[in-house]
Amino acid sequence: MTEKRSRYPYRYETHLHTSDGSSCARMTAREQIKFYADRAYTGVFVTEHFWGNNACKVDREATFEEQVEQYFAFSEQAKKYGEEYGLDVFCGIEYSYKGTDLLVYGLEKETILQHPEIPDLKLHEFATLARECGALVFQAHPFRLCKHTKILRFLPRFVDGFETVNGSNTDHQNKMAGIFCRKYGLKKFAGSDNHGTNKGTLNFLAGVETTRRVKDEQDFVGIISEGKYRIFTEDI
Amino acid sequence: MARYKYKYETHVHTCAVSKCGRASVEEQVAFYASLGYDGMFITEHFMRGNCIISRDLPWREQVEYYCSAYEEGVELGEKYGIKVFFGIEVSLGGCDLIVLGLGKNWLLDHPETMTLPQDEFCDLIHEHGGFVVHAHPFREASYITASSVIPTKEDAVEIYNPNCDDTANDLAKIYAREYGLPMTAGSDNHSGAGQRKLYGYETKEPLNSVEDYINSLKNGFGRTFMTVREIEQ
Repeated sequence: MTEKRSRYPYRYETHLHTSDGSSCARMTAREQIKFYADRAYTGVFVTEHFWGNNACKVDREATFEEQVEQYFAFSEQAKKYGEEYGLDVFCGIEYSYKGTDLLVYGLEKETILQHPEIPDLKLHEFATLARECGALVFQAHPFRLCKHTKILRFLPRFVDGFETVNGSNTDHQNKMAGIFCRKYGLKKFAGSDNHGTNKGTLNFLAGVETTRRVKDEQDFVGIISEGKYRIFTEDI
Repeated sequence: MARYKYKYETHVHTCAVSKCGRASVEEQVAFYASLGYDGMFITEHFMRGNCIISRDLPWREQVEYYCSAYEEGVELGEKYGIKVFFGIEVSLGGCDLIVLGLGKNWLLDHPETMTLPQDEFCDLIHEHGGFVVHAHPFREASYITASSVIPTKEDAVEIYNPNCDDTANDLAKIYAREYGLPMTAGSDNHSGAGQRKLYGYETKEPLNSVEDYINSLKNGFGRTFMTVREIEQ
């Protein structure tokens, strides 16, 4: 291990989908957890699509409370796989609005249950609420254009940073995110956006390495807020 | 070697139509004529924006009212010796687009311009031969929650606008460069002779129509300029 790596010895995937919770993913939670355990990661954040995105597998006919329970059950099950394979598993959220996506860390189930207005909030309102509740909010892959994203939206005043390195983006999309992030003076963040490595859209793995081991989602918020992390990339 | 001696103001509002305008059409036309400009574009806020026209009026009356400032500008331009061209600044939820190449008759036939979302609006403009300039794409203001761009559906970018801070103008330039979009500049002048920063577009050959301007942008014949005037207090 290089000296620099030794200062950041804990490696985390921050942007991960599984077919348990996101219909667009191609690998189950068990398969994804084993994949990262085999690569000796310290942990992963499962960031299934929130129910503003059609790919989210919660029952839309259910009540708000039931949908919240179902959503968090995906990561709870993944945490059990993590115990089995020796990988720390945490819960994150990927919130979507018409192709604009936010990654949210540290927003707890109990907090969401206290805010049944969440499904009706506008993008910036949700980001504001999440941050007021102590969560970190990053705009995911801000320059990705695809069949689901026809308009690029930027909310620099409502987020903590941009995902400037996304393993499923093109180099140009990541480059633009980096330039804009620096201009706006925001935190840079990275994640693979791994939907299953057999899907063919994942170019490389990306995430963050931290100076100390993450205890829980709130601890991760503190580590990132204090800047005790760095971005890494890794070939698949 | 020909010089860039023909100057154009590409972004002007007047109090005749734009709610935020503080100068009359005549004040604006006289001002740019006095500066020796060859031409100017009157680009009032559309009814889908900060416009004084009542949306309760019949569509025809709204369009007639909207175009009246430009039509007055054309007459005044003949009097003062400056060309006056037509542009339409449409606000789509914090995204301001200047539409060029489409006029009153087209507007009369297209009231759906009031409701189409950003991408479909651009499609409609292109379908009818119009040209879309994204004005100050990354300007931050209290009423703008998110900047939004569609690089595949915009034809040019206003990279210099004095109502933007340096960051917003820098980002606009980077955006235009990275997506290969033609660059222009405009003062976004709301105050006539009180405008201190004058940004615009200059050419070696005179522009005689909106189509000439579009052609110049597409082919890179002209260039942007930025000047700052001293104004006596």
